[in-house]
Amino acid sequence: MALAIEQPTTSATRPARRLQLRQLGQRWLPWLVPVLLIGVWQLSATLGWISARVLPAPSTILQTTWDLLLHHNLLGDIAISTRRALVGLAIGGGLGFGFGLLNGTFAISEQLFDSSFQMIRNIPHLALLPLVILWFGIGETARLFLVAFGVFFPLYLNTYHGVRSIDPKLREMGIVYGLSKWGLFRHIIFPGALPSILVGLRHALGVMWLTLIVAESLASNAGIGHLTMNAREFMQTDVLVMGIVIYALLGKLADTIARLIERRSLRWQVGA
Amino acid sequence: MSIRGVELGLRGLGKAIANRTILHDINLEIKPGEFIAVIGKSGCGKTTLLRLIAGLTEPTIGQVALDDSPLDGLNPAARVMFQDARLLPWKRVWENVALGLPGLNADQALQALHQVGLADRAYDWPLGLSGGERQRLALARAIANTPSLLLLDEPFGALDALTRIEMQHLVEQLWRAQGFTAILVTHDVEEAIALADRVLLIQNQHIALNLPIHLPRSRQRGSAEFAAIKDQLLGAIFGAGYPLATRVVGA
Repeated sequence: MALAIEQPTTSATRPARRLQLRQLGQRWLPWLVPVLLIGVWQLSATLGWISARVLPAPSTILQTTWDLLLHHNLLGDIAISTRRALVGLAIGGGLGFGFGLLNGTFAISEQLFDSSFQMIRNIPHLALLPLVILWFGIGETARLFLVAFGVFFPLYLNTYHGVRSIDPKLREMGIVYGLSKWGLFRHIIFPGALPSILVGLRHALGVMWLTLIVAESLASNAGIGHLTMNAREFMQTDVLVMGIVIYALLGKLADTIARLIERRSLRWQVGA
Repeated sequence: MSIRGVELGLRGLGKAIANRTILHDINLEIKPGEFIAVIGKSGCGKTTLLRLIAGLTEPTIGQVALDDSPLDGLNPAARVMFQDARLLPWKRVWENVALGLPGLNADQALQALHQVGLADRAYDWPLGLSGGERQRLALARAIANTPSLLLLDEPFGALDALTRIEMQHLVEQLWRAQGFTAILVTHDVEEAIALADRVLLIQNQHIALNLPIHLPRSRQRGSAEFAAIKDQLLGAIFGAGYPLATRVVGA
C-alpha cells in the first residue's frame, strides 16, 4: 500500500480534509489493537507482572531474534521450512488441481475417483501422523507427504467445483464459435474456474503451514519447528515465542501474496 | 464488400425428444443472402429448428443441406447470436469479439466493434456494459468473421422497446452490407415483418405459413400494408378467434 496522500497546494476545504482523515483512519486503524497489545505486554514484562519464564518481553524476543539471525543461521532454518512448505504445496496442490480439472471435465474420471476422494477427505490428515512415521520414518518424506496430503483436498474440491459451475451456455457458445478443446479450456474453463481455484489456494496455504508446524515439531533436525522444539528442551521461552511469531508472519505473507494474485487476475469482477 | 450467403435446404427434417415430436417433416429451401424470420408461440419448436440448422442438435430424421452438401455435426458456416449475450466476463470487450477469429486478430475485432458502434468500449470489461451494449457486443462477435450464415435466436427479446428498434436497424444494415443468409427466430411479429424477406410460422410441429414480404426497405411500421400483413399473421396464429374479443372481467 504505497498510497501517498498528497497535500493540496491551496488550503484544503473541510470535506476534503475530512476525507483525508478517513483515509488515514482506514489505513492505520487495523494496527491499533496489535500495537496496544504489544505495548501492554512490554509494560507488564518490564514491571515484572509476568515472569520472563512464562512470557518474555517483546524487546527480549527481538534481541533473541537478532542474535539467532547473526550467530545461528536463523534464515537458513526459515528457508528450510519455507522450502518444505512449497514443495509439499506443489506436489499436493498440483495433484489436487489436476484431479479437479479431470473430474470436473470427464464424467468417467469423476465416477472413478470422486467418491473415493470424498471419503478420504473426511480423515483429519494430522491423525495420519503416527502411520506416516511408521511408513516413512521421521525423515523429509514423511513431512512432505503430510503437507501434500493436507493441501490436496482444498485445491481438489475448489477446482472441481469451479469447473463444474461454469455456465454450460458459455461452453456451447465457445463450441459454436469454433474453439478447439484447448481453446475451450484456455478461454472459458480455466478463467471461469479461477475464482474458485484461488479460494482453494488460500485455504490450502493455511493448511500448509498448520501441517508443517505439526510435522516439524514432532520430528525434525532443521527448520523452525526444530528450533522451537529445542527451545522447549532448554526452557528458552523467548525462542519458542519467536518461532510462533515467525510462523504467523510466514502465514500472513503467503496469504498476502495469494490475495495479490487474486486481485490481479480477477480484475474483471469489479469492472475497473 | 458483398459476401455471398450460404444456400440452405431443409429436407424432410424432423426432431423428437424423448418420444415427443417437436418438429415434423420440415421442407424449405433458403436462397443465398435471404433473410428469413421464424415466428410461433413459445414452445412451438422454433429454437429447436435454429439449433438443427446450427448443428447443435442432430435431427431425428431428414437432413440440413448447406450449398447442397449434407450437414454433419456443427455448421461451419454459421454464427449464432443468442438471447442472452453469452459474453465471457473475464475477457475485455475486444477479446470477446476476437474469440471467434483465427489468431485472435485484434484489428479485425476492432473493425467489427466499429461496425456496431462500440469501438470506444473496446478495452472495458463486459460487466460494465448495459443490456443493449451487451447485445451489440454479441452481434459484433457474430459478424466479426464475416460469416455466410447468421442465426439469431430471439436476440432482442430482453431489450427495451427503443433499444430493440435500434438493434433491428443495425442487423438489417449489416445484413445488407455483408450479404449473409440470416435466420431470425422471434416472438415479435412486427420485428419479423420489419426485417424478413419471408416469414415462417411454425405451428403444430410444421411450417403452417410461408409468407414472402414484398414491402420496400427500410420498412415503415405505420404503413397500411405493414398493418395488413401483421393482421394476416396474427390471424394465422390465433385462428378464428382473432381479433381477440375483449371482455370485461367480472361483469
